[in-house]
Amino acid sequence: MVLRPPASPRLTDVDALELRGVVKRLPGPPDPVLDGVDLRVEQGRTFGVVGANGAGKTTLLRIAAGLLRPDSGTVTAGGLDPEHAPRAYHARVAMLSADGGLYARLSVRRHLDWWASMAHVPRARRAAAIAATLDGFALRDLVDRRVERLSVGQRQRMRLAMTFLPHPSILLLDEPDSSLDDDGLGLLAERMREHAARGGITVWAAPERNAAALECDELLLLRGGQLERTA
Amino acid sequence: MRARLDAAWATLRRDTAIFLSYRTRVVTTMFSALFSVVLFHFISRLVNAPSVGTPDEYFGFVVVGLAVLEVLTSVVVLPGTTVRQELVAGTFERLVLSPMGALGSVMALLLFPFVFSLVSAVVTIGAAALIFGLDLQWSTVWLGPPLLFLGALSFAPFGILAVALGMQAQQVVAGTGFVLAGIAIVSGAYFPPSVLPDWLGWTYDVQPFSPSIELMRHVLIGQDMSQSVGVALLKLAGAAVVLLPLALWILGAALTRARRRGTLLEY
Repeated sequence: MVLRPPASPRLTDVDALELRGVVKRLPGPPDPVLDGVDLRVEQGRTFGVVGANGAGKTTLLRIAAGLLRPDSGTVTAGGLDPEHAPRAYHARVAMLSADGGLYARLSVRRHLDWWASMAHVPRARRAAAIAATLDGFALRDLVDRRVERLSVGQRQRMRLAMTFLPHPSILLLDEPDSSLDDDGLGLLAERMREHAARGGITVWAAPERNAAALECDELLLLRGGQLERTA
Repeated sequence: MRARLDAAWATLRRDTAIFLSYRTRVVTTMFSALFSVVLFHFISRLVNAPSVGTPDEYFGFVVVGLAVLEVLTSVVVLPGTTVRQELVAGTFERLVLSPMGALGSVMALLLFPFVFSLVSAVVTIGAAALIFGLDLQWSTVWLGPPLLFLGALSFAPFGILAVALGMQAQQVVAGTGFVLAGIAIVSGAYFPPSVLPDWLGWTYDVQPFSPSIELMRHVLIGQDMSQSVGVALLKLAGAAVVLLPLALWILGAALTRARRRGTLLEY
C-alpha cells in the first residue's frame, strides 16, 4: 500500500482558540451584546454557534477575528492575541463575513491572485493553492468570469474560496451556508472536514434553523449575551 | 517586508484591473486632462500681465500647476473616498483582517490613485508640449517625477488625516474638497501669490504645496523661484518627515478607537 502525502500541511501552530469573559457593548443597545462569553475550541474541533437575529453571533466572530476589541475579557489563539500581535494573529485566523467582500468588476481568478498576496501565501505555493481552491469550491469553469456575473450562490462559493485559500489555522465562518445549493453545501462540508482533519479550528455561526445544514462537534446557543450548550 | 510589498503591488494591480474594466473611464479621464490644457491655452492668450509674463509663460505656469494639483487631489481627497468605497462594498473588513492589517491595507489602497495621478500629470504636461508647444527645459525635466513624489509624500499626511477623521465621523470628509479648493487658491497653482490680498498672502508660505509647485515649475519650464531650491526642498522633506509619521500614528489610533467602539465597519 502506498501512502500519499497529505494535500496540505497539518495546522499545528494554534493549539486552541480561547475567549475568556468577553464583554462587548455596541453603540445603540443598552445591554451588552456579549456579556461574559467563555469559549475554548481546540485543534481539529468545529463549533457551531446559533442564535436569533441580533443575538451577537457576528459580533462574537468579529471579536474572535480581532476585528473588534472586547470591552473586557481576552481573546487568544495559540498564545497570540490580536491586540499585541495583530499580523501574526491575522496570518492564522480567517473570517468569512455574512455578505460583501467581493469586487464586482474583478474576475474570480484576479480575486484569488490578489487575496493570495494579501494573505501572504508564499509565491512558490500560490499557483497550487489557487488551483486547489478553484477545484475545492467548483469554481474552475467560472475562473475568468467577473463577480458581477456570478449568481448569489456562486458568489458565496467565491467568498468561501478566498477564506479557505491561505489554509488558516482558524476559520470563523459567518453564515457559511448562505445561498448555497446542495452541491455547494456538500463542498463546504468536505472542506470543513479536511480542515478539521489537518488540525484546524472552525467556529461557524448561523441562525438556528440553518444549524442542521452544517456539521459541528459542539453546538452552542448564543442568548442574552451568553453561550449555552445545546443538548 | 517582502510579503507586504508583494501585497501592495497586488493591490495596485487589482485596482488597475478594476479601473481598466471601465474602458470609457480611461478615455474620459485623459480627455478631462486634455480639456483643461486646451481651456487654459486659450485663456492664456488673453493674459498679458507683468506678474506672469507673456501668454506662453502663463500657459507654462498654469499647466504645471494643473499637473501638481492632480497629484494633490489623488493624495488628499481620494484616500477618504477610496476607504469609504471599500466600507460600502463590505470589502474593508477583509482588508483589516489580512496580515497586511488595517494601516498597511489603507496605504496599499492609496497606490493606484497616486500612480494614476502621476500618469495623468505626465499626460497633461506632454499634451501641452506636443499640441501647444510648451517649452520644456529638457536638461532638468527628469527631476520632475522624483520631485512630484517628494511633494506627494508631503501632501499625503493631509489625506491620511482625512481617512482618520472619516473613521471617527463616518463621513467622507466632504471637507477635503473645500480644503483642496482653498489650497488651489493660495498655493499659486493658477496665479502667482502676488495677486493675493495682503491678509491672505501669508498662507502661501505655510503649506507644502507652494514649494512643490515652484520646484516643479523650476525644473520643467525654468521659472525662477521665490525662495532657494534648498529651502523649498527642506520644506517638502520636513513636512514629509514630521507630518507623515504623525498622520500615520493618528490613523492607527483612530482605527484602534473604532475597533473598541465597534464602529470600524460603519460608514
